[in-house]
Amino acid sequence: MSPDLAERIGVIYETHYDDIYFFLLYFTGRQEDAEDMVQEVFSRLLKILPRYDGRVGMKTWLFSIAKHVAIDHYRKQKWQRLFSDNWLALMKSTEGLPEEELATKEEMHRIQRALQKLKPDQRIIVILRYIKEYSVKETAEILAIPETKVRVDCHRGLKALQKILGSACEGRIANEFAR
Amino acid sequence: MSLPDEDHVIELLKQVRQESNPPRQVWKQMGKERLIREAYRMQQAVMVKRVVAGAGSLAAAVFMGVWLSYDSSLKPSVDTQTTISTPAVITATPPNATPSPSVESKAKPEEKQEVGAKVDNKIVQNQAVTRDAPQPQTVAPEAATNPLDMSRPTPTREKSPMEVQAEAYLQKKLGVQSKQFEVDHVHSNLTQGEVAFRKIINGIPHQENSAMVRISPKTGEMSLLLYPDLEDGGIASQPTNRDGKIDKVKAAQQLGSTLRLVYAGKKQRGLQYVVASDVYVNAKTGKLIGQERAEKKSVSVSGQGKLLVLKTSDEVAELLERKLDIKVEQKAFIGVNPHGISYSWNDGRGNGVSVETTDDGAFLGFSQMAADGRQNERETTYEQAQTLAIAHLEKFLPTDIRELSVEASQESPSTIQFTFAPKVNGIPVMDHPYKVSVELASGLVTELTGNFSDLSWIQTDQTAKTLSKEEALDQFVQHAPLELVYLPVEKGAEPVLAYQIRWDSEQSWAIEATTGKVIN
Repeated sequence: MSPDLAERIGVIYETHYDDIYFFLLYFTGRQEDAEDMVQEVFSRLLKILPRYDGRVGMKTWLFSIAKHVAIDHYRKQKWQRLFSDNWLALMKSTEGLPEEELATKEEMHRIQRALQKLKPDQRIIVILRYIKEYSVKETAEILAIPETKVRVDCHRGLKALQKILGSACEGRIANEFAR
Repeated sequence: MSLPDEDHVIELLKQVRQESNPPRQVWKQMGKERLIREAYRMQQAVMVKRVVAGAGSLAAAVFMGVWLSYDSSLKPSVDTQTTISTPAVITATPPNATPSPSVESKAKPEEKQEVGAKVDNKIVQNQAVTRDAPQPQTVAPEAATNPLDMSRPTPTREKSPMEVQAEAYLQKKLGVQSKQFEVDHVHSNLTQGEVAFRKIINGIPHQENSAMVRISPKTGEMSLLLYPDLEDGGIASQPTNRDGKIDKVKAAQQLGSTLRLVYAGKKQRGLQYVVASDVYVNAKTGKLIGQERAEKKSVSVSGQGKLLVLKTSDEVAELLERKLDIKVEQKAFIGVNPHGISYSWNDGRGNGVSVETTDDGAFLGFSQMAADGRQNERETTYEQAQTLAIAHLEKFLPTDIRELSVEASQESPSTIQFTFAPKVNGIPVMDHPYKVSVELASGLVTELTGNFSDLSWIQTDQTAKTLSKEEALDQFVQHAPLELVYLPVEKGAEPVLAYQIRWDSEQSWAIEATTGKVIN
């Protein structure tokens, strides 16, 4: 084992923490969970870091670990809550905002809720492609799947999101009529 | 229903980025410090290992000669800085490299008991312990510390706080009915937060547990699971009929006939006499139930394996090709789990292979699956499956292991899993099982696990004088805490009352073979 392991992990942590944190935050929708999970990702990395030979980018490697941590977390949480009740805490307050801005905030709120309703594999792909804006090639590398699969899953993920947002919108209109 | 425009959805997703809370700096800093402390601890542990390994190697070289790994590049060197696993796309060739054996007959469950006579000539019946040297010598058993009057009930052990908590929960949920349950230590798994309860009917407990209280180790949340099928076995309607039942001494003599000498003990390994597990004495007829499980066959093997230390994806790939004829392409995905490290390849079409090692790279086993496998067809007989299992195991077993005991074989519709125990001078060593699963449709060995590097148990004390089997039986008859239980039966069948050993600790009931002390 390299004698400067502590130093190495420290540098990697500083460099990639935010990236991994945001990925996991988009995945879970809960800041506390994302913070715990990011710690788990770096702990797992530390265990296998002595085997790292640099043939694959550190970021790619970290994301592949994060993906497994995210799916483990999803399995554990599956029956506890389908979507988080903590989303409001993530959003800045909508009080006192101009009407137009308020509408945008609500839309954001809906997209985040919709994202949480996607299956974990689809959610990960959508996050990587459209929120983190990785290329198809990079996403394929991180997820260890063919590029064609990334394209197909992205398409399906977007369709699923459209469907969820569509039905949410319909529900909202119905509620407004009922008032 | 009008769906939002796809581009608009993508635009919204991009905006999510701007709207999310940034990481809390205090938390981030704390995490970093914790990680660095962990890294220091790892470094220290490795340094200690180096010192111990160095001293150990020197001593071993002096006394035993030098035992090196089969390939210099795979030598267990802690300094080896090697490959990373890349999470690259994986294309594994179909793992079914093992040709399906020709099928002559379809095995039926009843045939299992005749296997010994028919199978490969490597398999021999070995009910009597054969110890080449030294022969067990008779020693006087130590005076029993607690001669147990068999007519008295077994003293109740002290319950753990978790069991007390689970009992309180059961009482809250079932009220007075909870009095019909008692903690079932054997079927509990306290580390997982599972406390099992067995139901008592007419003063006699069920052998199987009837309820389970789960306490979440993380949140402390509790839940109760009741098993209605077992409650309705017609037992409740049966009068307590103890007439015609054999007494405990006779039952103990019967059960004691399954005693055998083994090396066992988690903390300190030693010679022990143990009775067969899952074997009972029918309280009405006095016959053994599940006797076939007590008959452990012996198999002679010739291990071809040498110490395997795998530190890189390439080394694992090479091993798979050389030993199992499985070809994998590109790097494995490396996973970290509580036992160590796993190297996995999956072609995304249902074919996959995975190899497990310890943190230090010692080989722990492999598993594989084929996309077209897992049919519930039985094309491989029990004997063929066992032969395949042993043939695969021999590729990894150290050459020091010459004999295995077939401890168990568990059948499911699609696979058989064999559990083997290594033998030293004809005595099986417990707690070091090798498990091999064979898919019955294809003859594919789907899983093989075991500790192939820790052979410390081979250096067991082979000079100790032990009780004879007759003396052990005497001890057993005097002290074994037998209890009556209802065995689970099919619905509508007559309940079966049987004797079993009552377990009061995680350690199974045994007699220390050198001193005659009872271990429980």
